[in-house]
Amino acid sequence: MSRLDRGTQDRLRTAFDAGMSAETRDAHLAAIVSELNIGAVTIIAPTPWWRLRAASLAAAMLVVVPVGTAIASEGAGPGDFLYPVKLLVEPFRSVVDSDVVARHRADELAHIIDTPQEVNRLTDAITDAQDATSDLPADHRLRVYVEELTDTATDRPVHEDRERDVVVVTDRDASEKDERDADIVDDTTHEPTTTTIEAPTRSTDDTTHRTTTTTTTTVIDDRARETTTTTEATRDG
Amino acid sequence: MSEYRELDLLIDGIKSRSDAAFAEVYRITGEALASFAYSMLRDRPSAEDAVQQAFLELVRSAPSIRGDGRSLRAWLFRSVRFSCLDEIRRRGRRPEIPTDAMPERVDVADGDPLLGLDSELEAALAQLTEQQRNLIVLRHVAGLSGAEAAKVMDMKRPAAYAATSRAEKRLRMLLEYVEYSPLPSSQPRRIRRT
Repeated sequence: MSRLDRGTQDRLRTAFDAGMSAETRDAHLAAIVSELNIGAVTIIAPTPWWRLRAASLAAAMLVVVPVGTAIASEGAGPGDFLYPVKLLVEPFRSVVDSDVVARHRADELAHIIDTPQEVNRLTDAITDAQDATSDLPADHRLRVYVEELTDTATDRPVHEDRERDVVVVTDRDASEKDERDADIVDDTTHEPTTTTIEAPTRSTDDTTHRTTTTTTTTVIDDRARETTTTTEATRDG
Repeated sequence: MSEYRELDLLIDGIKSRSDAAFAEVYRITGEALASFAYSMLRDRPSAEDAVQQAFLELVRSAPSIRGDGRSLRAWLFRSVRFSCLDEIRRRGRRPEIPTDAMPERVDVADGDPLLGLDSELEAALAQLTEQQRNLIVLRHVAGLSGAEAAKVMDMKRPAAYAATSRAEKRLRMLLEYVEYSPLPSSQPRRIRRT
């Protein structure tokens, strides 16, 4: 409810009556129409803040994602998800680092040699590394490195993987280590994986009256699911 | 049909930048906007410029205007207020008459021809703050609702209601004091500072 009486309100209206003339009104309307016509051609609606922010984010992503992927692909090897990216980036990197391709192939070869691989993969890696270093001087460290790796690779023992129908290069050191560790503990449970049962039996020769102890040792390998039985006879006395 | 109802029907025309819609909105709100601007600037040409500026701003912002007729009306008054404040800053002075600069005596017979105010009213209004004067003009000259006035003045509704109520009460008391003060008719009436 208003606290001002009607008389005061009328006084206020009279006091602040701007009294715009007809000419002023016409001039204002002309200016508005003119602005409407100009605006129809030139005025562009302001871009909402969220659209600007989204565009900035997209621009940042366009830079960050490719660069990040390129960096992440640095350690990728043949068969890895990012390996094609690594190959894609190499031509650009070789502009500033001429040895990058040779170094990558040598590193990949070194990695492949250290792990059991199919022979075909190893030979492919050797071929790629040799191709990549063929243009380098004979005494270049990368070329020498690849030659050493190639020699090492040819010394690797191979065995036939019948399940996959391929010939597999075995890491000699690793296979020897596996054999040493096989009887000790399971990696995950830390419990013995083999059970050894010794069963000595004594027998007496009727003619010589000598007693012979025959020990049958049965080794059950839970992990390999194999049972090995050895028999050793010792003559008493 | 009420002004608000008319403005409601014109919103779509404004958004689509129709000449006719703008002309109609100008017809409905132009005078009230000019009065509000005039109360702030005390200068007719500047007040008219502020009104024109508000409508040109409306043309530019038309596609993004939201709400109904009341919102449109409040938007225009707010735009006028900002134009006036810019003009006041540009002039390097504020229209509010400082209390210290208030004349001790006001001659009732001689109203200020520039302001078009009767002297009693002018003297009483000069005792209000700028915010109180604006609220009084918005409510009683322009005919805005309390909610609209709050929006125009960038105030919370309860604060705007309370400020308007205080302004009305004070203005009424000031006017009554001037009207009933037992001064000789030959002497100018004295406005007591509060």
